[in-house]
Amino acid sequence: MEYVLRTTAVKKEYGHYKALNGLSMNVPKGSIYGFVGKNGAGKTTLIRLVCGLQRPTDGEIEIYGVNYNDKASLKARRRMGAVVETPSIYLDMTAEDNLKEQCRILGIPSFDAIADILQLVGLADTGKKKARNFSLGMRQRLGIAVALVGSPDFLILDEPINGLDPQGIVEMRELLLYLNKECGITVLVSSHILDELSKIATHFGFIDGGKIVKEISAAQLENSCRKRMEITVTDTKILSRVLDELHIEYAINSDAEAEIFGEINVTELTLRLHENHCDVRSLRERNESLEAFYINLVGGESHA
Amino acid sequence: MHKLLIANFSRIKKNKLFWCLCGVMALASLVMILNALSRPNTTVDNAIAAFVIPIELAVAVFVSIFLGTEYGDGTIRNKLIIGHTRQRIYLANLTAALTCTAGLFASYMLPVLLIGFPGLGLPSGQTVKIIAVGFVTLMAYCALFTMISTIYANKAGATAVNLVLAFVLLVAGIFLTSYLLQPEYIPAYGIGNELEYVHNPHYVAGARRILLQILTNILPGGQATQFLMNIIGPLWTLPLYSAGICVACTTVGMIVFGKKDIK
Repeated sequence: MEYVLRTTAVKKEYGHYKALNGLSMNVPKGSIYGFVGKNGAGKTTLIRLVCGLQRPTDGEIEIYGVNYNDKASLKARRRMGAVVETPSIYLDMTAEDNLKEQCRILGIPSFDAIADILQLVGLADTGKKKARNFSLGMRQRLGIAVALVGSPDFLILDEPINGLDPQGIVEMRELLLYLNKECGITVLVSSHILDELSKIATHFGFIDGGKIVKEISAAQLENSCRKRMEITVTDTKILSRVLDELHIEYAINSDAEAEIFGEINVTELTLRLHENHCDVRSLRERNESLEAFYINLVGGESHA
Repeated sequence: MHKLLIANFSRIKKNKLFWCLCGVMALASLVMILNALSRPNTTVDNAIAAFVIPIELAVAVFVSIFLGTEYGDGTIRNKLIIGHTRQRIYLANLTAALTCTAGLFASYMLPVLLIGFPGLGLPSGQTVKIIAVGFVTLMAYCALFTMISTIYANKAGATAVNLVLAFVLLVAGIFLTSYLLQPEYIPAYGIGNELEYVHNPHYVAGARRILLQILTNILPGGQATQFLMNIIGPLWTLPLYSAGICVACTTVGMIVFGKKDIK
């Protein structure tokens, strides 16, 4: 698998405080990587390091396979765009002027792409309105527009939906999906709103205490989180045979316990088990959400 | 670095504060000239002498706000994220600030050229030299303010620090120059009619005088005060001290900015 970003045992210390404590993560090319963690877990610190705003105390960061300390990493950064915490925009400039300024910083002589970018983020009609008069959602979208100047392959967004109204959240989700699917941009997005993240992310990285505690694809997560029944019976061998006959997916945990995945007809199952002289002692439905998965992972003291 | 310079100059072109300060400089110069014109036996030299002081204050305000905006609005991150090195960013900012200082200087000198010279006559050779040396002093001020504004990420804080520093340097300059300009002997008025001269106890002599003189020459405030009050040492040494300040401030600024954690 090709990775856009890889970090290995990254540490960042501020005095005696360890913000990152040996963090390793892998962002696959073409993915939307949901970066999940509670306040103070180290999400923004890592993003700052990846963006070159701060230097790691120890560890390796590779962007497009180029090491952080290598001079070639400066060229690799040219393919990146990011919004770290607050949008980086000149408040005394219009949306268009902000994008022109970013074009100059990048050395792009033509401003032709600006209209398309403004259209894409829904700011085409802002005219001469200064960014200081924009709403939070508009500023957030302008920040993303600035990050999109220069057609980056990798977009890093730190809490992009924080403070947005429901309409703004939907628009942001659609924008990110469009950028990923239609423009092929790899997106690293950190967010507290797990439900929203679960709608767009193809991969997840869970951070706690300055470390990645779990990296998982959306498909794997779906398997972990999907609806299931926990069943306790007198004989799991009989249960196994019956479930095979009914073509139901399951997992045997012990001689008496098993998990059954997907929707099942409970009456039919219990009758079939009864016919085979197997008693059902208990049956519990489990439907784990991303939030529950996350809380189980980090020990239940989440602020997310 | 040219990309950063183009971006900086584009911002300056649209910067209302810069053009406003240019106007204020021209107005300040005009007031000085009109004041000189209204008094008999006044030369253009008198109207020019204090030029460093208003320009240094304008530079302190402009540099703090122009560079502070990069931190305040967070736009410095856009430059770093896409791979511009900190050294290039610093040098591009310094170049922009120096150019603006030259612009403010030109704004002050424009009324002098257009009204001062025709109305009050041409300046003396010494005044022309002082203008040239003063220009380098302003560059030293600019390098100092750039260093502080780049190291101190708070826009309002950097503006306050730079303004206070500008005043402190000026007051220190006045104090040091006054101290050094003390005469060695002062008249002592006794009972008799004869005027006697006695040694001035406030006169600084020997190694202490040399040290104070060097300090006065090094400090941009000391240089500015000397232009106004009297030149104490050889004039040609002052640009060398200013150049030294420029190099020292830029080196320190680049090293600290290079290691700075940006949020």
